[in-house]
Amino acid sequence: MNPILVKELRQSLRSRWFEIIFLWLCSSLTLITAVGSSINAPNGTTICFWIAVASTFHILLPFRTILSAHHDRQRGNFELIRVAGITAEKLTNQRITALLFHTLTLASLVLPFVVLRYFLGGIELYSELTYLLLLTLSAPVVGSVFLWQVTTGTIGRFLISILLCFLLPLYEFFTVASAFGSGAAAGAPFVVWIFVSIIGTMIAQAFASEGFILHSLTSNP
Amino acid sequence: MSAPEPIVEVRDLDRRFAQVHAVKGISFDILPGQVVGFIGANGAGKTTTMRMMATLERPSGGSIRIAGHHVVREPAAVRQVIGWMPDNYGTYANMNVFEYLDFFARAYGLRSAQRRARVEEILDFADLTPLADRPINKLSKGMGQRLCFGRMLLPDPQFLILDEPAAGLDPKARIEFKNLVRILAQQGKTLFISSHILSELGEMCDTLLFIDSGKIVYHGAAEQLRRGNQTTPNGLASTVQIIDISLTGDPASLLDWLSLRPGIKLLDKRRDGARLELSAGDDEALAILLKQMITDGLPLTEFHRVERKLEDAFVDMVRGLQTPPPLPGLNLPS
Repeated sequence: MNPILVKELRQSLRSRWFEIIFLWLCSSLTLITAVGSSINAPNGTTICFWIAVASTFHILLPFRTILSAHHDRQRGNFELIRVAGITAEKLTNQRITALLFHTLTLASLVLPFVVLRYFLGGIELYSELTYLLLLTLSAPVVGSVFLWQVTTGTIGRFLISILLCFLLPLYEFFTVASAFGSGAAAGAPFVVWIFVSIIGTMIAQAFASEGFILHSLTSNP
Repeated sequence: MSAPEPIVEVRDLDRRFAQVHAVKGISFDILPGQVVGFIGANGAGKTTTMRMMATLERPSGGSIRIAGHHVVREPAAVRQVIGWMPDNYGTYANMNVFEYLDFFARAYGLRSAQRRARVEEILDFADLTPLADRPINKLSKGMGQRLCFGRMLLPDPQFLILDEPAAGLDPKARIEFKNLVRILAQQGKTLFISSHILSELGEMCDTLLFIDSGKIVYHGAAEQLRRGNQTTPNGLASTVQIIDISLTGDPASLLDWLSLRPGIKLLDKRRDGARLELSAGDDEALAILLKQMITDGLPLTEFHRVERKLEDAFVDMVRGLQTPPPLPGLNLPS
C-alpha cells in the first residue's frame, strides 16, 4: 500500500479532528432521522440530511486534509518525504486517495441511516444511494481543489477561494441533479458531472503538485 | 596504488537568492569513508550548500556530483545514495516511533518482511526499541534526534549529510550522538556534518571544511589546524608551532638562550617556564629545538606542543581574511 495512504489512515483514525467529524455526522444524522420519523415524513428532512452529509464530505474532510498538508509543510516533512523518493505528483495523488478512503469510511456510516430512512418510508432508495455514491466519488474533486489552494501563494489562495465560492455550489447542483433527476433530464447533468469531475481533479492535482514543488520544496524537481 | 575516487565532487558551486549571494563558487572533494566537519558562522552558507547536496535546492551555478550522479540532472539517483538530516527533524501528530520509521521505510520502497526487519534493526541501532510505541511528539530532543538519525539510515545510504545534528542536545545526548557517528565511520560511511560546536567536530571528524561568507577558507585535517596552521589574509596557510616548556632553576637562562635565537618568539613567561612560538616549525624543527635545548644545558622538565582550540583557529582565520591586504606601493607607517 502507498506510504502516504497508510500514514494518513493511521494518523486520522487517532486524530481529534476525525473524532469530531465522526461524532458530528453520527449525531446530526441520528437527530434528523429521529425528527423525520417523529413527524412521520422522512422525506421532509431530506434536504437537511443531505446538507449534513455533503458538508461533511465536501467541506470538513477536505479541510482536514489541507490542515494536515499545512502542518506537514510547516514542520518541513515534505522535504524528508521528497528525499525518501516520493515525488510531488505521488504526494498529491496519495493524499487524495487517503481522502477518498476517509470519505468511504464515513459513507459506510451514512449507509445504515439511508436504509433506515427507506424503512421509515417516503424516500427513493435508488436516488439516495446514487447521491451517496456521487458525493463519495466527488470528494477527491473538491479535495484536490482544496489541496491546490494550500500549495499556492496568497494571491492564488484568494483566487481559488473565489473559484470555490462560485463553482462549488454549481458542482453540488450537478451532483444533486445527476442523482435525483428523472427520465431524460437525469442523463445530461450526469455527463456534465463526470466531465467536470475528471477534468477538475486532473487540473487541481496538477496545480497542487506544482505548488508542492514551488512553494514547499524550493526549486529542484 | 591510485587515489580513491571522491564520493562527492563540488565544483564552482554558486547560489544566489534575490538579495543574497549565499554560496560563492566553492569547490571541494570528499573521499569515501571520510568524516568531514563543515564549519561556519550563521549565514555563512552551510545549510544552503547542504541543501543543494541533498537535492532540495537548485544551484545557481557550478555542479555537485555524488557517487557519480549529478544532483540537478539525476536527483532520484542521488536521493538513493544520500541520507539527509536537517536541523529540525520533522514530527507527525498521532504517530508512534515504529510507525514513523515504517512510513519512511515504505517511502524508500522497502517491502513487507524486509521493511519490518530493517525498522527493527534501526530501532536497535538507535537504541529506540523500548520507545517503539511512544508517540513521536512526546519524545525528548535527544530521542528525536536519534529517531531522525535512524530514519536517515533506513535505505543504508553511502553518504550522510547532517545539518547541525548536535544543536540543542544535552551532554548525555551529545555523547550518544558522537558514539553513533563513530560507529557509522567504522562501518565506512561518509559523513558530512555541520555544527557550531567546533571542539566536538574536531573529535568526530578527520577533515574540516571552513566556510565564511559563502567561500571555503580552510579544507584540511583538524589535527593540522590544532597544531598551529594559520591562514594569511590571502588565504595561504603558514605553519606556526606553539611550545610550552617548564624548567627548574633560574628562568633567566632561558631568556639568554632565546636572545640568541631570533626565529623563536617568547609569548608568555612564567616562574617555572615559558610559552614560545616557533615560526615555520614542522615536527623535525621541533625535534631539533628540543635536542638543542638539552645540549645547551637548559634544565627542562617539560616540553610539549600546545594545540590550539578549533574555535581560536576559526576566529583567527576569519579575522585574517577580514584584514585587507596593503595596497601595492603604499608605505604604511610602522
